[in-house]
Amino acid sequence: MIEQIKLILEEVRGVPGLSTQLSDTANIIEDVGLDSLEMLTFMLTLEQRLGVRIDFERMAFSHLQSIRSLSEFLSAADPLKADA
Amino acid sequence: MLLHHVLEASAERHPEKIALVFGEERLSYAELDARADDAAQQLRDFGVRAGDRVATWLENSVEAVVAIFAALKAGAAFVPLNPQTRPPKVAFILRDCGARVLVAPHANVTPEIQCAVLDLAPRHPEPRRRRRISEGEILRFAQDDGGAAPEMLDLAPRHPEPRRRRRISEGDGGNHLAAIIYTSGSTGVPRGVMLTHGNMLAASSSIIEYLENTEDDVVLDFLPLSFDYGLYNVLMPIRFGGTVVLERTFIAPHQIVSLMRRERISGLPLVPTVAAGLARLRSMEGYEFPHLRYITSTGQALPPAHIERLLAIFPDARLFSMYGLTECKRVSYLPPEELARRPGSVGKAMPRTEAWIVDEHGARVERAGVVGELVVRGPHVMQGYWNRPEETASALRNGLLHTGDLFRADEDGFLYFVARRDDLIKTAGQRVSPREIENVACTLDGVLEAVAFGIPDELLGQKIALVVRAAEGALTERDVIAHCEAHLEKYMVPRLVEIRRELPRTATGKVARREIAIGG
Repeated sequence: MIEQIKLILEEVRGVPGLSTQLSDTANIIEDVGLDSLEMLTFMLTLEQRLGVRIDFERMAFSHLQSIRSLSEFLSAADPLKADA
Repeated sequence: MLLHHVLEASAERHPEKIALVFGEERLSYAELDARADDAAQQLRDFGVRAGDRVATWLENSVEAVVAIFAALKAGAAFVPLNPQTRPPKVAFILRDCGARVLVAPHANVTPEIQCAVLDLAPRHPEPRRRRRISEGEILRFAQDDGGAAPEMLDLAPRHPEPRRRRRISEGDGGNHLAAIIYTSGSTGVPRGVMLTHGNMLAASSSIIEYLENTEDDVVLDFLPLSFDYGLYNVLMPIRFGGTVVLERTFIAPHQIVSLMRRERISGLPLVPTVAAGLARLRSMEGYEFPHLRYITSTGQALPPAHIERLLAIFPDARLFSMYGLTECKRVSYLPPEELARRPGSVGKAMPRTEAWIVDEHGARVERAGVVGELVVRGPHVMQGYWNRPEETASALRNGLLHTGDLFRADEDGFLYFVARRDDLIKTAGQRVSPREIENVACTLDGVLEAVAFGIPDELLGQKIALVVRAAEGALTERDVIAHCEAHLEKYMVPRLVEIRRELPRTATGKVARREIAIGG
């Protein structure tokens, strides 16, 4: 999942080759530098590609402090219900 | 009554009530007022006098709120600068408005910024005072480094004892300047919108009236205080005696979900991009927000599909779609009960103000569907642009604010935004001058010409595109974007860049902007 997250970050940020430069410990806010709109697009893409429901009630800033911690958080997520 | 009297009045009314929450900090009205009093005294000690300008260049924080009220209490107008604004532009604005003092984090005060403030000294008419404060003209406070430079403004709490009771002078006229807020001008040079205490009090009381705010409201504000929408969502709760939960910035939806519950948020101001982003996230479904009373959105009308989704996520909230510009703060709002019937509308003029459409001769357009320029009249309209008599004369004619925005109205007089009259780009609720982006692009080696324009975008309203003329192989798109990121606020950075060896031209050899913008 870590590699998938990196590829999505590259796509959202619009910087070709970014995924290969990001380490697993890269901070999603500070190192990747997502702004609010990019963050929302990132969340939307995570939802769609990984098919998970992001539990915003459990989520915290610590989960954005590295790609690995986000990946661990999302691994435990419920699948997104089929479109109502 | 003056703008800072609203804080003093609320502090008299309920000193112990929480006025401001920022992270782990919770300030009562009495504490916030005392800190602002203390900082105001420091500003006076630094030589700030009535009529001066005090610029703030701060991330959203308790200090940013304290600095604004301190400037007002010292009789100065505050000039809130976006923390993302780059030093050259900050230096320009400081010179332009003749800021007496800049309040900024220690680390951000570059030599360029120091020069911008210190250069002002010779202009001051009181040489003795000038010499006395020459070291104090840059005020800094340390956010992280804890440094104690002699010129540091200490915005930390110092007066634990309750503040003295004080009578508020109701007789004070609100005619002097409370704020100068810089916006992107059509020439690409930022210009300062001059707002008096009376302007800002009038705008806030009209908005409070239609939002039906009460002391029980708790407003979540993560919009920058340099943006009038973020600023008023601090000023208004302080006025009606509610609570502001201020966040540094909007980072991710979990902030909203967790704070809504924890702080019992009842008012949620959103920009259309964030509203649209939240609306599309399926993970936002299924939470309960029992305290949320209303959501506001301003900048552009939300697409109907997003309105529907937003109301599904926040079923108990009333959604206010609004329109405004810094020059008068807010023009109109759509009553939530009209939303289903007129989803694309931004409503009608807010209480005690007027807004109507005029044709090219300035005559009022009465017929539904006819497009013309929107004009605004009321006590909220700015005094003009600081030191820009020509631009002021063009915006303020016959006592009317000419918005430069083209609108049409339906049979019942509800307003619909159509387009800009000039080529200003409206992106993420902000007006951006293509010239400002082009000027920056042209400072990059290898760029021969640049043309910026807006292209329609579901989330942003318009997104910024930039076409650059450069020799083959001289540059890459990434070079241009990196350069723009280094010199422009993030919302001004082009989302699309294209490099060409030639640009289409008009018969007279000028760059054919229109042709480029429509894909020529």
